[in-house]
Amino acid sequence: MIQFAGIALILIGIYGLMTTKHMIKLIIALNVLELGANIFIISVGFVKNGLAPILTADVPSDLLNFVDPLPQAMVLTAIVIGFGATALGLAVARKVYGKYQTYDLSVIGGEE
Amino acid sequence: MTMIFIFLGLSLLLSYVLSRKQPTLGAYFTIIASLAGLISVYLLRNSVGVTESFYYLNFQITTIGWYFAMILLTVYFTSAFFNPFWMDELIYPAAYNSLYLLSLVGTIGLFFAQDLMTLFICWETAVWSSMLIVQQGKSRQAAWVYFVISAIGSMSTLFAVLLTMYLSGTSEITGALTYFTTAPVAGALVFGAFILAGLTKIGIFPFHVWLPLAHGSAPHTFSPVLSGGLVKMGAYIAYLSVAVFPAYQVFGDSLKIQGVPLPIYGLMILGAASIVYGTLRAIQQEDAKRLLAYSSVANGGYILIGILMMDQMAFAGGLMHLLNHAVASAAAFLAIAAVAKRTGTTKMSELGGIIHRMPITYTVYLIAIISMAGIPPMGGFVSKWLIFQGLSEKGLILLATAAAFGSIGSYMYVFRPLSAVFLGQLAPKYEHIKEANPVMVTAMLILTAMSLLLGVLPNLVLKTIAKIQIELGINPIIVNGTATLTENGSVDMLQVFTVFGFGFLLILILFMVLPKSRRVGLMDTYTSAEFIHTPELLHYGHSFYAPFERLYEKWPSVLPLYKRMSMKLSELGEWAESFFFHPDPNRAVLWIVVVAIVVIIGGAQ
Amino acid sequence: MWSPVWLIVLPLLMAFISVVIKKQQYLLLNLSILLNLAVLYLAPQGMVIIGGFRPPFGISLNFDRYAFISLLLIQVLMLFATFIAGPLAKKYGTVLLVLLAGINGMLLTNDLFNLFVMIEVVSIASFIISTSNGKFTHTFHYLILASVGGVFFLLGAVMVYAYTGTLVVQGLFATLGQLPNAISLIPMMLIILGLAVELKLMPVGSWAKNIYGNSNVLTGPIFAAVLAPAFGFVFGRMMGEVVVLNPITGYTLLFMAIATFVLGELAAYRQKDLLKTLAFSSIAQSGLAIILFTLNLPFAAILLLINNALAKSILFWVATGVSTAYETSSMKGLRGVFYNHRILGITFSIASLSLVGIPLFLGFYAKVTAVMAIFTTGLIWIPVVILATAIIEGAYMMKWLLQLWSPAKEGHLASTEEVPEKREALNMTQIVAVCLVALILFVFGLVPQRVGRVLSVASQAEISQVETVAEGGGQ
Repeated sequence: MIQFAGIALILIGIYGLMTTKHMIKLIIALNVLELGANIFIISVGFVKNGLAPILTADVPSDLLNFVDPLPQAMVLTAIVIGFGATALGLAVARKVYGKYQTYDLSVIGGEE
Repeated sequence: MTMIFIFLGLSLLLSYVLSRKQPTLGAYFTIIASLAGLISVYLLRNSVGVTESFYYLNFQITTIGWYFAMILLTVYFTSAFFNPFWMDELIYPAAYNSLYLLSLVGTIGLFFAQDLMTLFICWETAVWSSMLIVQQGKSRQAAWVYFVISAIGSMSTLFAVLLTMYLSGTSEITGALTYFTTAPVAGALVFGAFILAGLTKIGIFPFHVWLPLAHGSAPHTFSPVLSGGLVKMGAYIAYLSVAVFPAYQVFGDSLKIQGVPLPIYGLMILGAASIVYGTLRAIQQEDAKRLLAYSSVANGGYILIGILMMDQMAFAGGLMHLLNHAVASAAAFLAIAAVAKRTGTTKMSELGGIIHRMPITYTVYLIAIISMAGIPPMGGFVSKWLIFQGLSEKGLILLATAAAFGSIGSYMYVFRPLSAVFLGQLAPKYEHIKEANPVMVTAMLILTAMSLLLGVLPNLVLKTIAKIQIELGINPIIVNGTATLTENGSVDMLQVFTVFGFGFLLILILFMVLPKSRRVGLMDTYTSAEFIHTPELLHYGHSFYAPFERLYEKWPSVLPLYKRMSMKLSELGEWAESFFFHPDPNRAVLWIVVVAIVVIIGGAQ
Repeated sequence: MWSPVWLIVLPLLMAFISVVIKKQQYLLLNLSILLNLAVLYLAPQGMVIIGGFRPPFGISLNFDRYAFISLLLIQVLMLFATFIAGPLAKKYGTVLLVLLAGINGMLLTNDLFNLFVMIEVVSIASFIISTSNGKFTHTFHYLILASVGGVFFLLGAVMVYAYTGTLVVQGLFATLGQLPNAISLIPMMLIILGLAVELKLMPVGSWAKNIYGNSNVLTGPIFAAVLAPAFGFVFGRMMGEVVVLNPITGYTLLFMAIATFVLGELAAYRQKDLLKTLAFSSIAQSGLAIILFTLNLPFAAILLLINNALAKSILFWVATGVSTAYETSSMKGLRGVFYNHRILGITFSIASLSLVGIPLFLGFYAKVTAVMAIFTTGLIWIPVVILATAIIEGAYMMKWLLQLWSPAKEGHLASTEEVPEKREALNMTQIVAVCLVALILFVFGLVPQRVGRVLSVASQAEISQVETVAEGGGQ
C-alpha cells in the first residue's frame, strides 16, 4: 500500500517535471518525485507491526519482525541530498529571476 | 633501412630548427635530406628480402617497394629544389619543410612495410602531413576535401586491415593477405574495403574530386609531389590488392569477362571512366595546375587498369607508367611553378608567349607533355603502348577504346597550356621576366633527362619490372638489348628515337635555313581606332576549346554530389541537435520516461 | 596509516578548513591533490573495510588496479585543471575540494548506496561549478535532469537491495543473475538510466550541449576531462560488477550508445562554434566508451577514456583560453589565431589528431584496440559504424585545425595581415602546464604497448570475482 503511494508520488513528480515550465514549480515537482522515492524506499524495509531495530532489555533478540534499518538510513541521507539540491535549485532560480525578471523558462527561451 | 628512417626523422627536426632561424636554409636542407634518402635507398637495391624492425614497426625490402620508393624519392628530391624560393610565400615555412620530410618518411615507410599495421601507420602519416602542407596553399577547402576523401579510403582500408589481422591471426602482409585463398567470402569484403584507399588516393572516378582542388591550390612546390608522388601510394595499395592479395583466386568463381573476374573488371571500368572523365575535364580547365591535376586523374586510370591486369604486358606497362607519369607530371608541374614564380599566376589566359623569356622551362614542359600524351620517343609512349598491347591481346575492347580516347584527348589538353602559356604572343606585362633560376632549372632538367632516357632505353626499368613479375609468378616482360618483345611484336625504342632524331634534325635545319618569322606582339593588331581595354581577350589562349567544350559543358559534375552528401549529414546532425538536445528540461525528462517505458514494455514480453 | 580512505577524507577535511580560511582555498586544494597522489602510491591495494563492519553490513572501499588507474588519471587532470584555471579555481576552491572527494569516493566505493551519495555529491558540486559559465538556465536544466537521474539511480539501488539484501558492488551480478529476468529488468534499467544522464547518453544527456558549449577555462576541462572519465569509469565498474543485461536492456543501451556516438558526431560536424563542436564531440566519445563497456570490452574502453580525457582537457584549455581572449568562439572569429599562439596550436593539433585516432598518437592505438576487440564479439557491423563515424569526426576536427591555423581567405595565399591582432590567451605558466599534458599524451602515443600493458592489468581487475579483503584502514 505504502509502495503504491510512493509510486503514485513519483509519477506525479514526473508529470510535473514534464509539463511545467515554471522554475519554482519544477523544483516542487522534483521534490514530490524525491518524496515519492523516499516513501518507496521506506516501504522496502517496512514490516507491519514491526519493531524498531534497537536491542533493548525487554525485546528478545531472536525476534523476526524488525523493521529493516538500512532503508531508513538511506532515506535520511537522500532527504539531506534532496534538500541540498533544492536549495541550490532555488538559488539558481533566484539568479535567473534577477536576470530576466521571470521564472518562466518558456519566456526566457534558449539562453545563448 | 631503419637508419634511413632515423636519419630522415632527425633531419626533419633539424630542418624545422633551421627553418625557424632561416627558412631558406631549412628548405635547402630538404634537398640534401631527400638526396641522402634517394642515394641510401638506391644502395638497398641488392638487399631484397632483408627485414628490419624499428620498435613496433616492421619493414622489409622488396623489389616492388624499392621501385616505388625510388620513384617517390626522385619526385621529392627534384621538387625540393624549388622549396627555397617559395619560403616567403608560406605562412609557416618551418612547418612546411619538416612536414615535407615527414610525408617523405611516411611514403617510404609505406612501400617497405612488412606488416599491415606499419603499412597503415605510414599511410596515414603521409596523408595528414601532406594535408597540412596543402593547407598552406590557396585553399583551405581543398586541403579539407583532400583529407575527407582520403579518410573515406583509409578508414575503409583500416577496417580491411583489422579484419584481416583478426581473421588470419597475423599481420605480416603476405601471410595475412594470402589467408583469403581459403576464405573467399570474407576475401571479397576485404578486397573491396582494402582497395578503396588506393582508389581514393589515385583519384579514380568518383573519388577524383580532391585532385583538381588539392593539386590546383597546393603550394606550387608541393603540387608536383602530390601528383607525381603521393598519388602513387594509391597505386601501391592497388598493387597489394591484386598481386599480394589473391584477388584472382578469391573471385575465381565469379562471372568472368574475357577472363577477368567481374569485380576486378568493374574496377577497370572505373579506371576507364577516370581516363575519359579526366581527359574531358582537363580539356575544359582554365588553370594550368587544375588541368594537370585532371590529367593525373586520367593517367591514374591507365595505371590502375595496368596493375589490375596482372599479366605480362599491361601490368609491366602499368608499373612503368607509374614512373613515366611521375617524372613527366612532376616536370610539368615544376615548369608551371617556375612560370608562376615569374608571373604570379597559373591562369592560362593571363599568360602567353613565355617561350620568348623562359625557353628552357618551355623545353622541359614540352618534353613532359610529349611523355604524358604518350608520343614517341618519350617514356609515356612505351608504357601506354604496353597497356594497349595487354588490353587488346585479352580482347577487352571497351577498356582499350577508353584508353585510346584518353590518348587522343590528351593531345588536346596538353596542347592547351603549351600554346596558351608558352606559345603565342607575350603579354606586355611579362616583357621583363627572366628564365627560372639555375637551381630550379637543374631540377627540371634532371626530370627531362629521365623522361628522355626512359623513352629511349625503357629496358632499364623494364628489367626491374620483369624481376617483379617473376617474383609474382607471372610471365615476365621480355627484354632483349634495346628491344622490348611482346607477343604481338617488338619495339626497339632506340631505333624509334633515331628516326625521330633524324626528323627533328631535318626540321631544325629547315628552320635555320628558311627566313626568320617576324614576331607579332599582342597589341600589334588592327582595331580601327578602338582602344584596347582588355588585351587578355585578344589572347588566343582565351576560351581555347570553346566549341569542343560546349559539347559537354552541361554534364553533371561529381563534386556537388559530395557537397549534397555533406549537407545531408549536417541536416541530420541539426535534427539530432534540435530533437535530442533541446534546451528545455521538460523535453529531457520526457525522454527519460520514454526510454523507461520502452524498456518496461519490451521487458514485459 | 596509508589507506585509500584518505583519498575521500582528505579533500573533505580540506573543504571544511577552506570554509574557515577562505584565503588559502587554492593552496589547500593543490595540497590535497598532491597528498592524494602520495596516498595513491603508498596505499596498499585491496579491499578496505570502513569501521570494522564486514561487508555487507558496513561500507567497504575497493582499491584495485582499476580504481588506481582511474584515480591517478583524475588526480593528475584535476591538478592541471585547477592549476591552469588559476583565479577561477581559487574562487571555487571549496567546491572543487568537495568535487574531488566525491569523485574519489565514487571510484573507490564498493557499496551501491554509497555510490549514490557520492554521485549526488559530485552532481551538486558540478552544478555549482557550472554556474561559473554565467548561464543559470543551463545550470538549472542540468540540475533538474541530474536530480531526476539521481532519483532513478537511488530507486534502482534500493530495488537491488530489496531483491538481494545486499548493496556490495563487488560480485553483485552473480546474485542478480539468479533473479528472474522480469525482476532484475527494472532495477537495472533504473541504474543505467540514472547513470546515462551523467554519461550524456542520448536522448537523456541534453544538458551537456549548453554546459560544455558555454564553458570557460575551468568548467570545460573539469567537465570534459575530469567528470566525463570519472563517470565513464563508474559505469565500467557497474557493467563489470553489478549490471545484468538481458536482451532488452542490453540492446536498448547499445542502441542508445550507438545513437549517441553517431548523432553526436553529426551534430558536432555541423557546428560553427568551437566549444559547441567540442561539446558534441565529448558526447559522442562518451557514447563510444559506453558501447565498449556494454560489449564487456573494458580494456579498449579504459584506453579510450584515458585518451579522451587527456586530449579533451588540452582541447578545452586551448579552446576556452583562445575564445575568452578573442571574445568569440565562432569559426570566423578564430580564423588563423594559432599564428599568434604557435605552442597552443601545436598542443591543440596533437590533441585533436589523437582524439580522431590518427596513427602515431594514442588515439589510434585506442581505436585499433576497440575495433579488434569488437571483432571478437562477432558484431562486425559495429566496427563499420565506428570507422564510418570516424570519417565524420576526422572531417570536423580537421576543418577546425585548418581554420585555426590558416588565416587565409579562400582562394588566396595566407598573409600575416589577416591574422587577428594578438592577445594573451594563456599566460606562460599555463602554457607550460598545457604542454606537459600534451607531452604526456604524445609520449603515450609513442609507447602505446607499454601503456596497454599497464592498463590491461587494470581492465582485468574490473571484474574481480576473487574476494580480496585487506584489513585495516579507518579503524
